[in-house]
Amino acid sequence: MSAGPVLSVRDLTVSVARDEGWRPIVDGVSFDLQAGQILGLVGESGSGKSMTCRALMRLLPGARLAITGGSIRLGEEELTALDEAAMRKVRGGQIGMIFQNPSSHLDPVMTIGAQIAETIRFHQGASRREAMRQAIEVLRQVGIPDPTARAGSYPHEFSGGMRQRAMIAVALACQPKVLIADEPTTALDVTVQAQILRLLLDLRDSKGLSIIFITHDLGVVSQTCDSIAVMYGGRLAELGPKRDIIRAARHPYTAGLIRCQPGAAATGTYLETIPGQPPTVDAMPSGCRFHPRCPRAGETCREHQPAFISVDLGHRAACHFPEGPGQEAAR
Amino acid sequence: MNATKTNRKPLLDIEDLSVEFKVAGGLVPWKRRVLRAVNGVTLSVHAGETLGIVGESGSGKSTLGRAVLRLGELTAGKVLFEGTDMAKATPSDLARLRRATAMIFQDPYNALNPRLTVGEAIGEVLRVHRKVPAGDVKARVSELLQMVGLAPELAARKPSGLSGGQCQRIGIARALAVEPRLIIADECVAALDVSVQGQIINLLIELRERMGVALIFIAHDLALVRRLCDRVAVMYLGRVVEEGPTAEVFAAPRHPYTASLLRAIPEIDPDRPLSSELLPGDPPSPLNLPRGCAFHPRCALAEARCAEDPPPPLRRRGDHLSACLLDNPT
Repeated sequence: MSAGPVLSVRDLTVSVARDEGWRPIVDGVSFDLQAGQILGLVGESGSGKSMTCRALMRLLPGARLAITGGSIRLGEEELTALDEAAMRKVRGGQIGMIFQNPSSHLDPVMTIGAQIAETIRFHQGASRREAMRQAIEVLRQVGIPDPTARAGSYPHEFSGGMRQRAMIAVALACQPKVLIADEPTTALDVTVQAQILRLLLDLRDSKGLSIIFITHDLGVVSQTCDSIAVMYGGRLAELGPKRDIIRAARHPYTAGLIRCQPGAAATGTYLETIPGQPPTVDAMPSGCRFHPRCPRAGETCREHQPAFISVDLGHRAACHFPEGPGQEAAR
Repeated sequence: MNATKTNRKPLLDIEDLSVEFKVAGGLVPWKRRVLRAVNGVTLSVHAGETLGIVGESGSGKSTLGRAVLRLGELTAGKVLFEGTDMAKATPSDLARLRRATAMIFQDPYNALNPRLTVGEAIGEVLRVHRKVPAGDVKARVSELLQMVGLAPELAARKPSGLSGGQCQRIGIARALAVEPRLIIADECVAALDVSVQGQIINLLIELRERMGVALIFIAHDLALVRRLCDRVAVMYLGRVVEEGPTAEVFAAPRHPYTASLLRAIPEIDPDRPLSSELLPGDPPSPLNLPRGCAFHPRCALAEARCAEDPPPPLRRRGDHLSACLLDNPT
């Protein structure tokens, strides 16, 4: 194993400008991404998972949003200190990103091959002919049949699954070390979703790619990821190896999420639920942000923010009263 | 829940229903092509029963739901609701259908008028269907809000200030205002957060138990269908390829397509890796249906005869039907 993580995020804080000042929407998030690792970033809408990853790319939508603290290290480089020109070289060159809806991130009036070749020319200064040759090779790697012919197709001529493959090809054109995948399979049918997940796993194995996989689907996470980070209300609630998180979650929010999956219980029986709604930026609860919905919450939880502490080897949770090991047996 | 069976006439009987759309041609734009969204579907729903309809996008499940409630046009077939064929409905038949059925939509925000308060949105349904005297509307709105687990004070709010889960509860309250005997829920939890999805599913289970309303639950999430539905119909490219009691279909699917759908469900089990038997390709375009069994180009078990017309009919074994030529395909 080579030294150190590929990507190291420390105390990352992203804030939104309000009349009364900056209000954090991502609050002190820290994690490491190792070479060849797939990290699942899980959370409900508004939990800050997408915003965290947009901050990593320094692609925060809107002037009212800014990184207001923390550090993002990619290898030796501190991304928060780079200027926009240097950052453009990082995007696509060292970190690739794919999204839920390929149609809105591919240029509709440019052929797929030309879009990939453009990226290669920008980052590597290759000739037109060489860039197109590489583009066809990338299309082949992502499983597009007959890549030479399909490189001349426009995005609308591709099916949903093929379009997602094409976007992966654009993201991987310059062999980045890190791929950020923001809900890449949410809009796809289950059978096509399985194909794309298989492709991402294969690319990790063949290229040693590190992947941050953002999703709300715990099933997808448990089939693809090595580690899981759970976000709630802009903060990390829990982080650890996949098996520990799914089998022995310590944070009551994670445990609740796992319990409320429909599973294989009998037809017509009630599902477990987490009462209430996820919080919004302008109405964040004090102390632990999960306390209004938490069955274990006490006085401390209302007043003090829990520290993100180690509960097991490589397993951290931010909870004053974490669920104990052996919780699996109780279920 | 299965008490309403056999001898009693079904509440809803769909016979050989087809829905076609005309779309502009590809190379010859003035020559219109025909898209068969729903292709000879036969299904029935008994009072108080919950039928799940699953399938990938483009399988025709939403079009079927809309055609049944006559919210969309249908091309051929019968829709017998309490014995009346709604495919040939007179205006008074349609009015009766509207008073006895309701639909819950996928996008809870866009299904509500942003300019109306919650109370007005629910009250509108009560007034249009003359469910209660004008003076009692307010009280009935409060009652309906409580029924779906919301505080009556919410009646004064507008949808913009509410969460997705709250809006979907209001959508359900509007459906219940009709006092329907049949509700069609089209992907009604797909847009909601996981922790809120369960709350809505529980509400549907509770309402079904309390009011005995029949439910057609259209979804792509098979795990939710397994939890909620008595029976399930699997659609592929406009046809029902398998139908039966939920437990039986999930435990022993008979159609190869159902089997691959079930294999593709991502289970929350860190020790179960991604299935290696993945279904190849995407579903074909409904504009250009394959001959014979529409699933044969993606089916690992396909034989030469699978590509021959006519498409395989549904064959019944007990309470479980499937449309596959092979004897023991799965």
